[in-house]
Amino acid sequence: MEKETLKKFLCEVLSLSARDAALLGLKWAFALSLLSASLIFLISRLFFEGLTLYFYLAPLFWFALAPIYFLKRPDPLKVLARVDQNLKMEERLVTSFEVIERNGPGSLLESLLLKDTCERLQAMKPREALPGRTSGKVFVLFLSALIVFSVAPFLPKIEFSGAPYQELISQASAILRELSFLAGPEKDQAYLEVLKAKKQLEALNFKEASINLEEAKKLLEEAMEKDKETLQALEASEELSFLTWSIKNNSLSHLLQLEGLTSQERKAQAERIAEKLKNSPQGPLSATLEELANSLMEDGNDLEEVGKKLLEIQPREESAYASLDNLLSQLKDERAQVELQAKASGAQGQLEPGQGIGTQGGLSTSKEEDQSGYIKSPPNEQGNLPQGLIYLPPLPMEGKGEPLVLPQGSEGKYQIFTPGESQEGAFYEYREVLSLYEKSASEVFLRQAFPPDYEELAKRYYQILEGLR
Amino acid sequence: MTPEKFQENFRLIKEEVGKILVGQEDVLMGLMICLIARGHALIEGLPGLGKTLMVRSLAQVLDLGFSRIQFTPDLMPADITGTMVLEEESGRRSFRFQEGPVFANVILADEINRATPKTQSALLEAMQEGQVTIARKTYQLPQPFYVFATQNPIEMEGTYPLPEAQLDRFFFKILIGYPQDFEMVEVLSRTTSVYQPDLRKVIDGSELWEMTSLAREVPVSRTVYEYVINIVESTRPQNPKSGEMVWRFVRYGSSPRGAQALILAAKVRALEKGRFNVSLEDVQAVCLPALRHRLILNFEAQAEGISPDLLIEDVLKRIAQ
Repeated sequence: MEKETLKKFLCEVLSLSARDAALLGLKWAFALSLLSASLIFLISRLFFEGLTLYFYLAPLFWFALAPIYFLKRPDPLKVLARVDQNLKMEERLVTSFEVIERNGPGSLLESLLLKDTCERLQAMKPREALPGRTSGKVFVLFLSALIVFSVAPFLPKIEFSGAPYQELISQASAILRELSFLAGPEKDQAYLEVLKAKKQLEALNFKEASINLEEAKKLLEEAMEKDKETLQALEASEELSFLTWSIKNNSLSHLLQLEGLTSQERKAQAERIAEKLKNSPQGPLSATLEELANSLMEDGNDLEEVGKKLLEIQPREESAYASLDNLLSQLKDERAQVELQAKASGAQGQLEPGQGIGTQGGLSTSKEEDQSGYIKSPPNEQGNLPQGLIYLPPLPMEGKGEPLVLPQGSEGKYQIFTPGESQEGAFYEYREVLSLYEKSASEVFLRQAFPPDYEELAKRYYQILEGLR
Repeated sequence: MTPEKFQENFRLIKEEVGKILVGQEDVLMGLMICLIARGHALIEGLPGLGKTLMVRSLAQVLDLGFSRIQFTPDLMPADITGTMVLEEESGRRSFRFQEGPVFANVILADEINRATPKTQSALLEAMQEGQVTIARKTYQLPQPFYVFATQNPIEMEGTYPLPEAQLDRFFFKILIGYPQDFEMVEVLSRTTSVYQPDLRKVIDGSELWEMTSLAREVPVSRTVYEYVINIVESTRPQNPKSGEMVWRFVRYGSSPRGAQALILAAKVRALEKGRFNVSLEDVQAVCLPALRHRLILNFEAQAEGISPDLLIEDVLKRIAQ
């Protein structure tokens, strides 16, 4: 009887123990998952951008291990020893279990023991004997995970300074990257210094490498400064070329870049262009003044202001002043009439070399000039510039140098400019000089180092011009 | 014998001895455990604390043959075991074995550490085998045979430490201390008056044997066995699981006799408490008297005043964790 009672109790206790073990396994798995996820979250927060894949894989890993707890069979003796401890049974239960295992009881004392144990167990339930275990370690894991999750979002991202080797290598790479956009002797020297630094780094001589890199940085700064000046000069040169082209092609819209602009913006643009024309090495470019005026008039600007601006451009040209004065008064009456008269006046000015507008740098139709080969094509009936001409400004050929040979028109003659001579500007059909310019540009690119972007830009420029032929 | 009878006898013995002895219940309990477990006891304490009185009273209550040997530096082994004497009878002379005081059920070896080790060792065979060998002839000692030895603390003048082999043969080493104040009042009251209690015999040798047999039947679980083994092994400095204190202060740990003593003593205690199995608490309760004389400490421990009790308590604490 006692044996049956004890066996039944033992079975209940063991099943409870197995269930507790499984539950504990789940608790462990959940706590470890939470903790690992929190740590990965913390690491991601501190060192990386966003969550990594491990954030999602870590909990899965721990839950995959959870079945181990289910498979783990509790040792009956250990379970009973725990029950003895919980119920303060003083090892009665575990001893009774062993007596039963030995097919006991075999003595008076063993019988008394079983009886005593059964009597004590009658008033108890297995659940009391084996209350669910609450592991302090699991609780600590939970708490740690929660702390990490709550603190991590407020921590700043850590930027590692890295080891000296990595840091210096990255510095060298950065300098090389900057140098690839530059040209000139400073670039070569800086490049050599970086190579020296790399050799020192291979020998783990960080101090020398640092000195080399410092020198390379200085040279890089110098090269960048020179490059900046070069770029400014290049931009100025490009803008001037563009203006020259626009003037020769009688393309006011290109000149002023007015398309799509508001009235205020057009005015501002016109003023900017006027300022540039004023300071142009080509001189006051009188031929464009009428067009500029027309444009400004069309936009309904204050004519007096326009006049002032134009006068600022060419203050010493009396004839131009007179022409403009007439022009402005005519423009006040009727817009279309003003436009027509302005064009006529402009054409007249251009057709009279040495007087008024177009004296310098303007179009000339005189026979002498035609014979001299400077003018390739006469203006049309409206007085506009013929299409396809390019203005060659007076060349600043001072000192010794190679003479510049330009083609002289369809007859195949060439105009030779000797260094040291003072030459006036002239108009050429751009088809005749384009190939020469392109060749010259190619030679320059071969001789000197330019940033790849600029080289590409120049090539594209000539391709576009080639397409316009 | 039933467990109830066992408990009854136990209680009666205690009550009867209590007529003479005031207090010292732990000491009396230890002695009774030794009696029932068939072990010898070494009682250590300062002179005048009632050691001899206690042992003599116990022997008287149990109706056992009692013999007292006062150990002195000039005591010889033959003075304990006995010797051959020349005897003349009807004109014929022959040697006859004259039994020594060891031939009794309960031997009180008073101040055993005042004799030389040679004389102390005379008890080795008697304690272990229950016999003595003299002139190539072995003589069985009366059963049950108990040696209750008293000794003064080893630091006292004119004492010889007991050999380790002999120490190990003692089941318990019981320390006897000064009585409490209220006990002293009773002691003074009894000893300074005409109070002369008449001790009656409670049990005889055969009943004591039955009690011993019953105690040995008490079942012990494997958990308790493992616990005892764990304790004994933890007292050995060679064991990597022993604690820092054991490694540092113990020269030799407990022998297997220590484990046997623990189990036997725990069984007796369990029955005395009315339990039919041995619990861990029983083992813990008898740990100190069963093991304290089996730990041989090194010089460092003696220099720092480390006692075996301290080490055993440390072992118990560590195992509980």
